Order: sequence, then structure tokens, then C-alpha cells
Amino acid sequence: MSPDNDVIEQSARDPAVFATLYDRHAPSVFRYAAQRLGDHAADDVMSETFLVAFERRSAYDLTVVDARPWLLGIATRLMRKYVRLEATAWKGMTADLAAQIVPDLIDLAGARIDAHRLTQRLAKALRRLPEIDRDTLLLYAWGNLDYAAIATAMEVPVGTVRSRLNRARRQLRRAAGIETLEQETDHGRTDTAPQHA
Amino acid sequence: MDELTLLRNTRDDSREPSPTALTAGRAALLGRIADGDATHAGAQRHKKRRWMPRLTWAAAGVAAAMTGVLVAGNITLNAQFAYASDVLRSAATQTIQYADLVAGSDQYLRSHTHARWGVCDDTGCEPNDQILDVYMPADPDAEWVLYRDWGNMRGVLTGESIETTRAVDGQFYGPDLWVNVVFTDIPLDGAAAYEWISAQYNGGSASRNEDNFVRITDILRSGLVPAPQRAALLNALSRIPGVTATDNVANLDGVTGIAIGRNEMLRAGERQEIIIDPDTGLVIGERAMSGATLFGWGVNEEMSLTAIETTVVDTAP
Repeated sequence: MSPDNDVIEQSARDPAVFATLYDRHAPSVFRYAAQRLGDHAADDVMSETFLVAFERRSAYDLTVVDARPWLLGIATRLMRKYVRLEATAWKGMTADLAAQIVPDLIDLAGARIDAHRLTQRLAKALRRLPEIDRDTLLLYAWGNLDYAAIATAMEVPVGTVRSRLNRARRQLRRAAGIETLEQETDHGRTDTAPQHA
Repeated sequence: MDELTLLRNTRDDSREPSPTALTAGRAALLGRIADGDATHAGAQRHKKRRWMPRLTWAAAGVAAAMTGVLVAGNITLNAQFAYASDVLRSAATQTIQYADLVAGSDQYLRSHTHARWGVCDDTGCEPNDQILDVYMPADPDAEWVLYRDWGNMRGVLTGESIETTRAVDGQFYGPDLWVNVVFTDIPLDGAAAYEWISAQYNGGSASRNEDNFVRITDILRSGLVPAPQRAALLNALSRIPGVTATDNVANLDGVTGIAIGRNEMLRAGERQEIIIDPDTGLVIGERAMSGATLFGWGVNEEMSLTAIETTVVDTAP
């Protein structure tokens, strides 16, 4: 099977080959969008992402073998027009998120805070994250990209990704009432799959 | 466990797009591709640079004959399909009887591909010759080796035009295997091999038949498939509707064989072919023929051509 960059290169002379990328990555784009926006809007984002990608394929960096970061970057930018929908989705998701996060965070916080209040604080913190920080955080958390791939997706240096994640992390910690900050040193992903998936 | 890991643990990998949404998205993309082709072809018509020689009048005659075939209807098409099926089943029989190349311990089976693929930009397409030598070791735990000369292009691994890379199972460019199948998984009976490949169809390509054809030829063109499995796959190809055969087709190095292909109507009639040696069933090349005036190619012109040769060698670079 040809790698993504070969497929994109080949699509310059045989455009129909580009559909191969859709077959490979459409479910991944959908999953990322669906978790942020819900299934209905994710259908549209999935479709639009590949239309935009096809139009922009001549600008693709052919030295990058995996096209998924590029596609998730396009999807992320497309999702910005769904900002109201995302806010609603965030509210709906809070309970589920809290059920999974809160027990661990309570441990971290030394049980200084009750679950209900922590849930409210976290949800608020997540909603209030600046757009670019939230995008970076969610590409990491739900897009399953490492730092370098996020840098490719958002077209910024890796150092910028690291600082944005640190900033988002600080806000989550502050919301959880954890004051001790650790310096982020991890440049890549360590967990290959979510533990609660 | 830090906050980022906690949030990441909420990722839901169980979500899947519905088949309806997937189909609709794909159709939208194919529609955009078709629109783009038409627009681009119109814009490029006056700029195009033809890098492969025009087909001969004889080939034009074949094109005219093909048009005639379409007009004449299914009877003639069925005759063509029957001929292709006969060629393939005969090749499959020959393949089983052929004393195949087998690498001894410490040796490699080497697949040498000389490819002429076009590199296109806004001004048209230029030919670019590449060499790909894949060394598959007899020892399944040993590293495969890929020597690749990218021609006028820069390699994707080092940026140099010539690259040599090593990887177990031929994973030269990531987790995907160079040949995306375990040879021993392929049923040795032709009908069973066809059912096996068809059962793996998951909605890709312009049609199920095209996808079956492409997945079989993707395996065969590696040049590394053992004779029993190769025979089964050739037989399986003979069962795919729309497959036709063309005699005396030369590969890029001038070696002639029989071209086996399909015209995919949902892909503007573009024709992908593998060229086989009917005596051994070995794939000796590939070519792609245009089905419409696109990107500087006229109808029925060669868009790409390769030559493939398989040998046993003692060493790898």
C-alpha cells in the first residue's frame, strides 16, 4: 500500500487516486469531529475536510508521510464555524467527562474539593480556554496526535505546541485546585490508546 | 497521571461514521474530483506537453474497436472477457508448473522495478524514471532492504535522490507492510482466492470489481508472490467482471507479455493494467492508459509504464 505522500503525489496526475486518502482517514477525522461537535455536524466536517484537502493538495509537504495531521488540521479550522454548536456539545459532554476525570483529579487534589464542584470548575475551564489552546489540547487528547504532528496540523513550531499545552494544563490544574506545576518535557505521546476507551 | 493524560483517556475510539455518511462524503469528493478534472483539462489544453509518444494508428484502431465493442453490446464484451479469462487461467496453470525462483537461506528474492511515472504541476506533466529494488530475505526475521533512485525527485526519507533503507517485513515508510498480505493466507484455489479477496472489500474504489482488481494486482506487482499463491490470484483475476487482455504489450524495458486490465467506467474509462509473462505468471510490468482527455493526456495514451523483474541474489546493498 502506497504511503499517503505517494498517494498525494500521484493524485497530481491521477486525481481520482485522492479518494484513497478518504478511505484511509475519513473515520479518524469523523471520530475527532464527532467528539467535539456530535455526530451530525461531524458528518459535514468529515466531508468538507476532504473537499478542502483535495483543493489544497498541491501545497502538501510531500516529505511528510502521514497525511492525518494535515487532515485533522483542516478539520480543526473548519470546526471553528461551529463554535456555538461546540459550546453546546461541551455542556452535554461535561457529565461524561467528569465521571471519568474527576476521581483521578480528586486524588491529585488530595480530596480537598468535592466532585460536583470540581466538575463545574473543569467544564468552565475547558470552555474558557482560548480557541488555539483548546484546538491544540483536543488534537492531542482526541485527535491522538503527538507534538510534532500537532505542529504540522496547526502549522506552528513544536515549541509553540508545547507552550500552548502547558498553558492549557495550567488552567486545568488551577481549576482543579492543584497548585504544583511540573515542567512539561514530553515531546511525544506515551500512551497509545485511551485507558477508558 | 497528569491532566493531559486524563483528558486523553476520554477519547472515544468507538465512534464510527454511518455507512450513509461515508458514502455521501465519498460521492461528494468524487464529484469534486470530476469537476476539477474537467476544469483543469480545459485550462491545460493549450499548455500540455506530451511526454510519451502518441499511440500508433494501430492503437487508435484498438480504441475505435473498443468504441465499436461498446456499441455492439454485451455479446462482444463477453467475448473479450472470455478471452481474458482463458489467458489468465492458462497462465495460472503454467505458473503452477513453473519452477519458481526460491531464495535459499541467506539469500534474497529481489524485485527490480523500473518505473516511468509522471510528475505534474500547473504547466503539465514530465516523465520521471525511478528505480525500486526490494530485497526480501529468505529469513522472515531478517530485515528487508529497499534501494530507491527517485530520479529527478528528492527522497522522502533523507531528501537525497537515492535512498537505501532497511526494515523488518518491508515497513520502509511506516507500519504498513511493503506487500500488504501474508502470502500463506491466500487460498490456493482460484474460486476461494476470489471469495477471499472479495470478502475483504470495505467500500473503497469506484466499484467493488475495481477494488478487487486493484487489491489483487497490488499483491502481484510486488514480484514476490510464490508460484502457488500467484496461480490462485491469476485465476481469481479471471473471475472479475470486465477484465480484458491485450496481447504483445511491451514493458518499459521492451520485454513483451500480455496486458491484463479493466476499464473502469466510473473513473472516466481509465485503464490500469498489469503485464504478465504467460509462461510463468510473473508480473513483468504495469501500465496505465488514460480514458479521457485529462492533465495533458489524450484518450488512450500511456500515463505510466513500468518494468518488473524478479531474481534471486546473494547480497543486498
